[in-house]
Amino acid sequence: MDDEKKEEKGVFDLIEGLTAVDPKALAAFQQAMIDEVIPEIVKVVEERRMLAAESREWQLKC
Amino acid sequence: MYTWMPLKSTSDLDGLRTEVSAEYNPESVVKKLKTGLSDAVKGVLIERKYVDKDYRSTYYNFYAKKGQTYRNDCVRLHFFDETVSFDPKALRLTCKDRELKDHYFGYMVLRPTGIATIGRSVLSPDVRKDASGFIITANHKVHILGYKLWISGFPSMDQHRDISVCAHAACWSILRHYSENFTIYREFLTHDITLMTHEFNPGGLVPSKGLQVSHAERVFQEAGTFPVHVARAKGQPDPSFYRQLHAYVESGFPLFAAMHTRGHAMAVVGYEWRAALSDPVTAMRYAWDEVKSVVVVDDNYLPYMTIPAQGPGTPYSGSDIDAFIVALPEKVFYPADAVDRLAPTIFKLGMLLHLPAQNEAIIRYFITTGSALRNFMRNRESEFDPKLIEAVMALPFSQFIWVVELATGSDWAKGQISARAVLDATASLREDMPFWLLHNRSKALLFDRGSVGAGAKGIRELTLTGMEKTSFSRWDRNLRPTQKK
Repeated sequence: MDDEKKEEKGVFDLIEGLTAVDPKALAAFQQAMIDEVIPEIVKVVEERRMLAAESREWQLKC
Repeated sequence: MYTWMPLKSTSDLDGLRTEVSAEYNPESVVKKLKTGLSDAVKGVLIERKYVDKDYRSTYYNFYAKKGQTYRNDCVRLHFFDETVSFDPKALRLTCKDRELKDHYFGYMVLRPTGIATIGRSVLSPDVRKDASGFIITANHKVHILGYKLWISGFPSMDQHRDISVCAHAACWSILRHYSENFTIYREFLTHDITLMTHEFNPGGLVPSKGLQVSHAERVFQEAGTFPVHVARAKGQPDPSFYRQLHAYVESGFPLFAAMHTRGHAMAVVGYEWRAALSDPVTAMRYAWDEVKSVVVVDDNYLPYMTIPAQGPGTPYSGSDIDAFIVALPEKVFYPADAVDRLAPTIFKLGMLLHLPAQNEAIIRYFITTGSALRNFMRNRESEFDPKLIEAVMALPFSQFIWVVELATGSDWAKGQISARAVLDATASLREDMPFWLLHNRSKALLFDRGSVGAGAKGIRELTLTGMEKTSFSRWDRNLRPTQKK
């Protein structure tokens, strides 16, 4: 029974001394991620995919 | 069957010219060994009639079908230091401390093919002239005269030329490293590699006409890995390409590297840091900017050739590499491109915990496992607040994690860092919080990835104490440091 209760606990319940984070302090990071970084990541990954597609035909024989 | 050849210096390797018959092309072998081996090698045991599984795979499928008659056995050369001696009557190797494995520098198989005769070899980087820095290695077991020895190195061989080219040799080296280092990958012989490049058996001399990069990718897929193919942008500088190349090597993944203009491929297996920071840090830079040279296993040379990381080099430099394939395990979904773009954004969390100024920071990132992180911290308990160690032991990490380390120039010079972020390597590209953990010396942010969309509710702070003056070490553990002998 006790084991089952432990299983239900979240990871934060297992660690002592944790405090909540002020959501305002995260705002700049999240905004930058949503507005700039994630779109850029998606774009860059797509560009890399295209470059990789072209390079697949390179001949290697030396 | 066994001959001992003592060496005063590598010049005495000339003796191989008379000890090894012409079909093994001793002239060419001696030339390479004299150029590449250090004088720490003081004895060579020549083992004749050696049955080499890789050569046999090509013998059964190619050489035995030719009009010219080829031998089916090989010669194997074993390299030892000055403490080892050989009793030819008793066929016994002896050394004072009886720890033969500590005095062994590896082996080289010679194939009876007349040209390109250097076959499967595993040499210690410590006896390779000019090799330096951190090198990806695995422990290879060697049986000789009833002794079981181990050599830590990276496998290499010359291309056969007639049935395999540089790309086959690079694929073989990487996959042999995988099969020796990771139990989930099986062993592939030289001929297996030539078959894996195509959907059908191309037969004859087709493999000698070369491979396309896509064929190498196919080899790694067939071998059960999940290859990621990264190509450099055309006609413009692409520092992110090289940062990723370095990140994967730092992570312990040897790279299949292609040089388009040369039509050449080799394995990238290591790197060396610059002795000191190239100049004061006044703008954000990456670990790649501090890399002096790259270590490659190129089938035209003895292994562990050092080439300049950037700029011109002889025979080439890192700048000539314009595509690479990294054979990853399945569960690495978050690509290095994403980490490369995300890492500078971490500085925007500076309101939550103190980070070095972005324009004074050096960023380094690599892949490892959650288990390795726990092990790293367990072995350095004195560096961390016990509460942080407890948290790391409790966090349910994915198998693979990206680690991002932030350091000031001063930290870097001491081999230390200012902050470490742990990202989920299974995160998706569009996640805005792909973290498990971010901490400096005084505070940690823990991220609960147990539920989707938790936002700020899924993040907790942990105040750390006692770490103000501890060594907060850069994690340099993935590769083997070369110890010149």
